[in-house]
Amino acid sequence: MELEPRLFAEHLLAGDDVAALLYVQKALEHFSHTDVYEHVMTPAMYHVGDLWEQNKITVAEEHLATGVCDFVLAQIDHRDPPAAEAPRVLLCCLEGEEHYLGLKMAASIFRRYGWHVRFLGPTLPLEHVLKDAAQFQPQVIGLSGALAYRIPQLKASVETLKAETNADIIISGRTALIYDLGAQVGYAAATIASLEALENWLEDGNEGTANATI
Amino acid sequence: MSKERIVEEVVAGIYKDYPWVWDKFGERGKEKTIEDNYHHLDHLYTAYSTGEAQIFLDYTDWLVTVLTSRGVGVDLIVDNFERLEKSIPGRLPQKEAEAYLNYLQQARVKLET
Repeated sequence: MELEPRLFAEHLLAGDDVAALLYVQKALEHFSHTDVYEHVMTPAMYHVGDLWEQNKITVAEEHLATGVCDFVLAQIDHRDPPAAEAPRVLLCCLEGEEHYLGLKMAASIFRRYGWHVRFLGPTLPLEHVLKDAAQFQPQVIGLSGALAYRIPQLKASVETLKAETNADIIISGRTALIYDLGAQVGYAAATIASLEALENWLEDGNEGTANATI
Repeated sequence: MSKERIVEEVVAGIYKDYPWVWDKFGERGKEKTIEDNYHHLDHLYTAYSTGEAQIFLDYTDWLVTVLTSRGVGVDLIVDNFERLEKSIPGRLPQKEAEAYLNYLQQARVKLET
């Protein structure tokens, strides 16, 4: 079986949640969850974004695609409860950042590795991240900023979180793939450039690696 | 704020000099032009604060795809950038303003070739 993100994107844009889910379930017979996230869902959603850029689909269709992709992602997510002593990760998008699907995929990968995951979704003001982190006491906080113009905000947020929590900070998002985000935020955070990189980071054990750019 | 003044001046200039833009896109179009100009300034700031001119050039490529597919020609983008170049000096710290002008000129050169 060859992975066909364009075909999956067609199901998303048609609002066909059944076909989209069946496609992914079939893919999972041959590929890992991370493969499906990285090589089906992510490129499919990038394609949807490109179609919007080119005015070939409407904003409504883009939202429909996001909703169906979110549904599929939830259906195939891992839901065994983590061990009480398992590490904790808090994941959120910066204030104003609506692109949360990539981070939701990251949440799913953390769960598969047995972590306690607190996924806080899109556009969360930093003060609420801090409040929540004070309660949840995560070892790792993951921030996502998909768009380039979030870099200054991402940098400031990392600095605040480093100063006010004990967590290691990881950052991700499409921007991380294009620009050297690690250099921008300095050594305060680890850049996770892809979901596969996240999986490697989790497999290798992340102790003491949070200062590396992955 | 200086940012608001810049956007106000640029957008007012566009709608004064090209009344057909109003006829074609209406009030919603003007709101979008205002939004777009804040977006231009956000990307100029990002390029400046990171020292990565490429961020603004990549943004310009994206903008061309988004706007030309919606009936706004490259000439209007070039014109908008020229207006920003005229409106920015004196409204932002000198070093920042100079960097912005440099990015805008680089983007225009790219758009005009």
